[in-house]
Amino acid sequence: MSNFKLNIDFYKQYPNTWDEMFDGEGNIRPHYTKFTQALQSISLDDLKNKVDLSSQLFLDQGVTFTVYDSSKGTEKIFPFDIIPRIITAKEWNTVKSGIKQRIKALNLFIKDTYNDKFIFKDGVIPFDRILSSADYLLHMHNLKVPNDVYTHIAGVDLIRNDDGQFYVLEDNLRTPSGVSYMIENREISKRIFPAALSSSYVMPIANYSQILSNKLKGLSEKHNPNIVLLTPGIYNSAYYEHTTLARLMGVELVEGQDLFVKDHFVYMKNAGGIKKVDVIYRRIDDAFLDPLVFNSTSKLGVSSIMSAYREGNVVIVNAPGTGFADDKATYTYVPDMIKYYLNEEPILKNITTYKLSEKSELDHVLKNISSMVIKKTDGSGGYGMLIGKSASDKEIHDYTNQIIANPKGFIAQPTLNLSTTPCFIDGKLAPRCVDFRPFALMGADGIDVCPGGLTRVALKEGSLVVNSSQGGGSKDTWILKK
Amino acid sequence: MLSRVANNLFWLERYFVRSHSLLNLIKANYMSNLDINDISPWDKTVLNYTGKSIRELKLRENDSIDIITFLLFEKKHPNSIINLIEKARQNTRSVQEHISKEIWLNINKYYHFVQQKDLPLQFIDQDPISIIDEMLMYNMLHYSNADVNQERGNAYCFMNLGKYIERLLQSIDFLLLQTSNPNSSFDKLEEHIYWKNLLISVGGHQQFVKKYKTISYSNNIIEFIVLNPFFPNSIYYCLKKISVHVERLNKFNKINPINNLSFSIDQLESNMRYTKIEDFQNVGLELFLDNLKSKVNLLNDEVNSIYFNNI
Repeated sequence: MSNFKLNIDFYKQYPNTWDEMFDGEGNIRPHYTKFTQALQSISLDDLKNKVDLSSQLFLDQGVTFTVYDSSKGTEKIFPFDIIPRIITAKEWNTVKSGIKQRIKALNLFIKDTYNDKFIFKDGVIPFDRILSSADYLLHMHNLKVPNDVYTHIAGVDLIRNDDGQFYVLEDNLRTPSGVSYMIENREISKRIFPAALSSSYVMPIANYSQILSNKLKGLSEKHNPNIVLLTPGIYNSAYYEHTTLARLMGVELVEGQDLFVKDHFVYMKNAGGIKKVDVIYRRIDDAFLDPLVFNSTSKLGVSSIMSAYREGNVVIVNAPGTGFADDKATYTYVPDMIKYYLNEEPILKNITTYKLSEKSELDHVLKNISSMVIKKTDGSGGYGMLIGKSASDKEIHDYTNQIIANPKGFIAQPTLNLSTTPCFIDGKLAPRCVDFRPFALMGADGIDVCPGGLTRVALKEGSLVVNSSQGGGSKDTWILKK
Repeated sequence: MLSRVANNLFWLERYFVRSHSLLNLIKANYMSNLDINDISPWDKTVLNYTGKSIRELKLRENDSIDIITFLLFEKKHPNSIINLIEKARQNTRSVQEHISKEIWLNINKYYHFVQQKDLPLQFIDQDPISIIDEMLMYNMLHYSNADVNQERGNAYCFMNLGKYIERLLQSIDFLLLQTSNPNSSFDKLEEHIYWKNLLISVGGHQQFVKKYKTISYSNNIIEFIVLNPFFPNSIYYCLKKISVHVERLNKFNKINPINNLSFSIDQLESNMRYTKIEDFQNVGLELFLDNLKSKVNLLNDEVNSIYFNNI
């Protein structure tokens, strides 16, 4: 049986695009050498079997998400591509420092916004931008949070542009998900590429849950606080992640119905009676957290939990009201925040972003709409955006009308050439666009960035949309030790 | 431990034991069909698990494969295997941080096995026993995993509480199924097969033959299923186990041991310890079993109020 051959002649690189494995001349980049050697020692049939094995492993482990169609929810696995994405130690150090810097500044910004408001008084950011955000919570005004930490868990979405540099696409400061896929993807890699993994000296990610657990413990003054993970329940698409994290940290996975508030303390309903809760790692959005304060129809949250929080009797992670700091309108100001709070130059750059509330920028964008990606400032999941180069005239016309009606609600970015990485598709390697979401954990002892992350991949040929709901998949990310 | 989690663990085992019992019963019925070509045992089985007769369900009366397919795969029937395993898996998903990973992996695999779209067709085309045996293997793996890998804490006790209450109820129901047959006797070969069938379906045939050397006396079988202290599916054995786990749960959760649940269990266990076969012959087995079932249902209500709805 012949071994798999890496044949660059059949690997059609996208024009003007950085490829993670091959350079412009079609040579394998040095940090991929050990992996490609291992890859070429495997037969094609074995590789195909490894694809089947990975799907089976995901299914057997229950690493699934629920897709709702007209009748009933069906479980699907998040497509996984077996070829890892490899990042050098040098690149990683830049990414790590950049993320730490960014999260530090964003956390200071949230604290400042809910307390002294210096950044607005000094005219760096207009306050009306923040006031207009639905995620800005009056309930957080002048509230002291433990260790001044708001963004305990953050996922920063990065892309690599055609110049080979990483850029920040988006900050996720609310309840970022995907970390369980990072963990599971590595477990699968251990099964399908054991030799390549060990010979490549890849940094381990297994202690993510331990670091998270320590950070959560550090938020309470108690020696052994009662920590719970609050989930919307088994029908949530990220439920697998909630169970994984609860299991790995050894904490109780609770639903809103399991908790209640009495005399401004939160309790859980146990088989042997009630027990006080000290720290809540919530995986439900602000809007559903407390029906007495936010969405009154919510059955996912806990009535009066905000009163217990304001009294300082329970810690909520991430803090409520961080959403205004990661929306697409605030994004444009993050480099200014870094300079203002830290007096540093941003290590990771933003993508050029046009604020459509500014007349001149709006005109520029409308004139060059075919080369722009336009997004709603409060949008997520890849929905509600317009990719100019692939949109029809009618779509552009309709979208333009929406923009003109509410320019503040949109931002625009030039169409980027997301870097590609080889994927094993139909028995051969083919380039597909990827992004990268590393995870940062912030606590009293500082910020830790897990040496790995979730690489999402647009599995449709030519597509830039990596979201799982729209044909995206994932792959393991190997950060090399040296 | 959260009340909701405790409740899910309790029901996880109830679903598992129920599926195990149903599979055993289907297997035993099918084999006895082949022996005596009589489909009458299906009537009672279907009635017991669905509350409806074969005719009401519009199943083909003389077609055991049609009936078995219904009992295994009918999605509208809450006690079909496919639904029991789906519910068991749903419960397991929500309690993963309390159980061993092996338990979850096995139940998840079991779920995907029964969900295969072509499984009912395979079942019709092939020998049904081989597919039922494969399902039973998952049930047995579950018990092994719980035994070998599960921490002996709250979760284990709630699982066992559910397991033994369901086993107890299943054993009562199986006995009622047989005793409700007006023609029960050992005069006919068919009846002999029914009783043997009952023993096989509660997993006690081998142990019974070893103890009594014969299958000829229905009283022996009844005594064995109700009173034997060493047969794991006997009513007395299950009560003893329930008592042990309730005592542990009281200790783990700092619950006053003088409570209605502990009292009811101790009372039932003591009654059973001093019961002889003649006692329920005097009352009539059916009445005895009906009374016992009512008491077990009350006991189940006590479990609910003390552990699951205590606030």
